[in-house]
Amino acid sequence: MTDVTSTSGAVRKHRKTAPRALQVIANRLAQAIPTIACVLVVNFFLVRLIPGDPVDAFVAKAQAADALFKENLRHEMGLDQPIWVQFGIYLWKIVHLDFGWSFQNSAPVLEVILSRLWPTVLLVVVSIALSLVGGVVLGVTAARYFLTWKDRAIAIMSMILYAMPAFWIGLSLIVVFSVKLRLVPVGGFDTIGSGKTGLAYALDVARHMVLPAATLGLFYLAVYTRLVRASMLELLDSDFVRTARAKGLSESTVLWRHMLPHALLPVLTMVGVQLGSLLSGAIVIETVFSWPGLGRLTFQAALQRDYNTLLAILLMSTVVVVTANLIVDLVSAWIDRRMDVN
Amino acid sequence: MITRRTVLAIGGLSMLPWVGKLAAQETKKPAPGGVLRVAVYDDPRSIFSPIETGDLELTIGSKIFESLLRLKADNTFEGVLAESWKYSPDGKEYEFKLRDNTRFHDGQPLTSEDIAFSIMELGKKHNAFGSTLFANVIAADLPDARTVVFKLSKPMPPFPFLGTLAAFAPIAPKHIYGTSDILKNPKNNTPIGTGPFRFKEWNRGSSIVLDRNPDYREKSEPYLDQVVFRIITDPGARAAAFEADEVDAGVNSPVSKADLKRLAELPFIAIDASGNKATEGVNAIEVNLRRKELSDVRVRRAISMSIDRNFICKAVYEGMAAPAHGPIRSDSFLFDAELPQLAFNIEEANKLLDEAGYPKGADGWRFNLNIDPNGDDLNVIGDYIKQALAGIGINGTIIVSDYATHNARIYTDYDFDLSVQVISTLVDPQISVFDYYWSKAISKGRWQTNATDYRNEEMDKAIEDAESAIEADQRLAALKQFQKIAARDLPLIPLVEYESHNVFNKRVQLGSLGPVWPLQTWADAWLEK
Repeated sequence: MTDVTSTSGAVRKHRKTAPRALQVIANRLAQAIPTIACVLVVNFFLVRLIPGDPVDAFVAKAQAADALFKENLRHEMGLDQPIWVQFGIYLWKIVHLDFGWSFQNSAPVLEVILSRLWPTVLLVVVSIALSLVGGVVLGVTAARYFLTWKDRAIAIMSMILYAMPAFWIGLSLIVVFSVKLRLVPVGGFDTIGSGKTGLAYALDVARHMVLPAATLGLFYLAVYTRLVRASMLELLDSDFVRTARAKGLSESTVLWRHMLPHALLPVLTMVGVQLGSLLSGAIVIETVFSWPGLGRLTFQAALQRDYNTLLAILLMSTVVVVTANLIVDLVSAWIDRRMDVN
Repeated sequence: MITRRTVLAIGGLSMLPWVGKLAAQETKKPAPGGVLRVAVYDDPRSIFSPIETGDLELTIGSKIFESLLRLKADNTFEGVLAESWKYSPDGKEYEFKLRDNTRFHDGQPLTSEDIAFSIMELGKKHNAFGSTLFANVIAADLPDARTVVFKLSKPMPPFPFLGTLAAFAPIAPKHIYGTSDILKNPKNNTPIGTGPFRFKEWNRGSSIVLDRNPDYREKSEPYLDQVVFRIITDPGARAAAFEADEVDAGVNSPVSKADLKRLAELPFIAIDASGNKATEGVNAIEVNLRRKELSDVRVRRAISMSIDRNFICKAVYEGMAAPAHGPIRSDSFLFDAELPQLAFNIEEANKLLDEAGYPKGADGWRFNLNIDPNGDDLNVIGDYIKQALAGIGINGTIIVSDYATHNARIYTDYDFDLSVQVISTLVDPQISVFDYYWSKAISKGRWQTNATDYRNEEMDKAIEDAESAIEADQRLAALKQFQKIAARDLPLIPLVEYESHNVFNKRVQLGSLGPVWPLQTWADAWLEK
């Protein structure tokens, strides 16, 4: 291992990156298994602590029920078994990757979840990607023009976007762009019954995604702009920045090539956290724009006490959080090699 | 044959003048073709409506599955799958003769066996209402493939029995659903019925698409090529979809009252207030008589007198409601017009509470009560009731919970003082109102029933008389008695009769408009080009 001084002045230790990364992944996976197991157990009992059970919710939606019907339904759902037996059956099924049947959706849980997964992934990934790019550009610009009108304008804009409720932004965008200008649809994932395929279908989905992605993205944009700006300002007086300037590098090179990679670290951590909310974080957006995603499904499952669906979503959410954080750690370590991912 | 009436009465029963003015439709010749886009608020639990009782499931399912009968606006019945029907003088036998040209979507003919299966198996055993609705139906005789005779254990008047069959008994094919676990039958979500529309696809969270059934019994129907139920969960977004012309129809109050007024101003929007008349109800307070203070009728009357029902109509419903007199709506033909108005009199209410032995304490309160509103508008009403009770020295505490929790609190745990609830009429009070008052309906864990612990032999007799009176006059007399006792004893304190609206683009022509329009097949609905 050789110590070298980088342009930025930080000490980097060149490592055998690939085997090291594999070891880290293996270690983290080993840690993840007990974490997921704990979450699995806690979730199982936690959802049962909520007042009312799936039968109560079922009859609430059915608007009626008599005792015999409820008794039959409870038996059908296995809720008449002792809770430890229910837990044992649940564990056995999970081990066999059987998420059970959703009585509230009259379909297998996995089928229900998979039908709603893709729209949420698409919406969140596109929103985060666009807002990340926008946030970096605005954050760097604000830092470069610190305390000028540009900086203040960006700061005010990001404050406003951060403070405005998403449902309000969403409905406002609908009124302007869908109702008044009729440029984009009010909501939905695609044009129902259009029969479009290939590129035409992709463009149709993109057209439907403009407003929900903008609404969700504007919030993220505010977050990333403020984070990048703050991180950049912290680095302004760093030794490596002074060194870079002393070497006669252009301001753009100093900002984008030397400062930005370091400023991105907290942003990446935030992205990791937000990816964790992939499965449930877009509830408001999905509701306002009738986006058929997992956020709405999670909310409905909680309201309807759909234990099987709720537990499956929570389990998936846990797996996504663990995985996302591992990826963020690895990427952070790749950007800043001083970091010890272990 | 199914007759069609021109729709002229839209909005005629509305409480607001602008509704009628905007919604009137003219006689026009139906034009075939087009896609009817209907906004709905959620995914249904399933589309297999023969075992469902939710409004959403029944609205969608009723285009695929037909019933024996249909309820008309004049409270008479019209045959759908049934060609004719008759009942015995003692009200214990009902015979239906089926049309001979009805086929399921898979080409199999409809037979009396399908009717018997749908009622005796699906209805009685798997429908949430079933064992109550069809409790008296003990057998179905099948003299031939086109005739079914239902045998009842005790007399049942024609209107509630036929009404039950019209609204809550869609007919499904025995050869498809009689062969496996009913709840998990894969055909539940790709259903096969006899209706004018066939199931095409269900994109969860997005839409349900139904195609025209080209082999429908009525050769010229349905007029529409497709019905698309578009799932739009946010009421504001639904209103925007109407404005942007992205949906054509929405049923059962699809938008908020503020948006409804705004939409009514648009030249291309029509609003109907008559198509839900048979399923609207009364908002009321269920009073837990297990609580000592509330077991005194003077206290219940005082609470009733503290409430300004006109204020609720104006402030909560923006005029789209009327003060309630009792458990049956005043626009029902079963309403007792002699019932007195429920008074709003704070002074008298305070006096009654003093008489009952509950004077105001040093802190100004007589006693505390919990108020459990059951969501949506009822939460706002709950807030008002808290204020109203403060005016007579009762300290109210609002307990807000979601539907499942609320139901468990009220109907399983009886852990409530005042529950603000919707008492839906559902075609006839025998189907859904009597059980709130009948002492024999007290059953822990059973929803929409007597949770108040009200027990009165006089009331039980009135209910039982109404349940078995075959002659209309006798039944009406028993119903009047029921309403008088209910208004006197107030185990439930009636609040307001709310109005439910259907919203349309004016190009939508509704066809025959009954008082349960959302549950009609829409075979004769069409779109003006």
